[in-house]
Amino acid sequence: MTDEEKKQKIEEIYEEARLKLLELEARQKDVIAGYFKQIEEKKIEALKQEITNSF
Amino acid sequence: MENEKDLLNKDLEATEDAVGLEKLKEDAELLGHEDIVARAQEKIDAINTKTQEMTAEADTQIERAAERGGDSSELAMEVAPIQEELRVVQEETVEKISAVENSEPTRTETVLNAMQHFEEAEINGSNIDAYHAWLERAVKEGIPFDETRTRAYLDKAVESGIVSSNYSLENMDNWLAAQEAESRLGKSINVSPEEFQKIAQEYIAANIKAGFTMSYLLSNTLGGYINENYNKIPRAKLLPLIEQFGDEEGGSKQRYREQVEKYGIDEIENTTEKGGLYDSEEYKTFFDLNKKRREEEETLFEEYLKIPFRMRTRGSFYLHESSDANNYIPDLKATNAPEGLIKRFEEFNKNFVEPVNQAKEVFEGKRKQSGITTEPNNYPDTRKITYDPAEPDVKMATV
Repeated sequence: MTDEEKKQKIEEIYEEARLKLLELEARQKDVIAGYFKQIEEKKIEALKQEITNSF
Repeated sequence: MENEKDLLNKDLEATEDAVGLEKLKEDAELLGHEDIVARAQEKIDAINTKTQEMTAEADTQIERAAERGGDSSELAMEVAPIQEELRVVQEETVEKISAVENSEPTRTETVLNAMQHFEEAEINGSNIDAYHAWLERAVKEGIPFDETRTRAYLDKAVESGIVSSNYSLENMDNWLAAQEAESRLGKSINVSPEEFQKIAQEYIAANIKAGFTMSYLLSNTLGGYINENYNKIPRAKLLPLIEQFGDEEGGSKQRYREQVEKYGIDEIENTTEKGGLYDSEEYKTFFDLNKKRREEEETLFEEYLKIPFRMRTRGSFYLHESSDANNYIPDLKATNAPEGLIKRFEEFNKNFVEPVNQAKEVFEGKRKQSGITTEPNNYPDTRKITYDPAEPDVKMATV
């Protein structure tokens, strides 16, 4: 492998990893956001229930 | 990296002395490899930074989960598979980049690298110094290449006085083949006419293959062969060689022909019989002492070639008639070579060369009295040893 080929190969490996990390980052954000959304929904549901019970 | 190149350029403009320029040249050459290291590290750093950011973000959100009415351990379990994937991607990427960075070049690439550097050296006009600079750099950096062969190439190039115009690694093999044949021709004084013919033909073929014409060497070697053998080999065997390999245009063919026809012999005189000249004590003494000298010379050079290359500062490894064992001593001392080896060089002339010369003088006096001019084929060759650096062993100048 020549120096130029090495540089190119390193770029390719990096680019592949970068895309994979972006995908993982997006998934992690979705999971965290989904978890908190679920918490918020539970809170709202609990409040609704509380209001209903107060009638 | 660019900054380093800029600095080097500035230094280059400001530097005028040879030592300073040599150092700058080395630094500039090293930049090629540093470029790869820097590129790899830059990418590894970027991947590490990104994964650390993502892990820190996950940790922060996990800590905040309880504050926001959730359960930290629940969120940790949710993101755990992603963090595991992240770890794998990070580790594999670092591993892959490091593998590329440190990958060994292939044999072909080694040659290509060498050719590139050699060609660059030629383009820069720095010739043999640049070749050596590249070679030393390759050794220092552990670049795999055929060091013995390349050093041989450089030594031969220096010795021939041809250091750049016709030679590159591309035709090195052909060139070395021609050198090998040339070397054998140089050692061929005592071979039979048939063997001389065979070697000469190989030499011509190797030179043609390498694209060189060095017929003058062949003609000169033939002249040496004729001079050494006109009174040992019958003229009927020598004349065909002259016709085949003599130089018509240069006039050597005519000279050799006349010499052999005038002074040559029909048959070899029988002088080795019991009681004959070559059965005498004087001849035996001369023969035996020369044999001992050559044995000592051979082991001396074997030992010499085992010491580190830096101690062998002479350009070539020849001990010609014009050279002398004493010539090696200052360099050996200056580089702190082993004392035992220095002592062997110091005592070589006294213990081995001078006794041979004395014995030869005694015998030649006896021969002159006898009137005998022919010599047997085993007549002692008093020439000094020749080491061909193209091969990792020591060879005698003649058989």
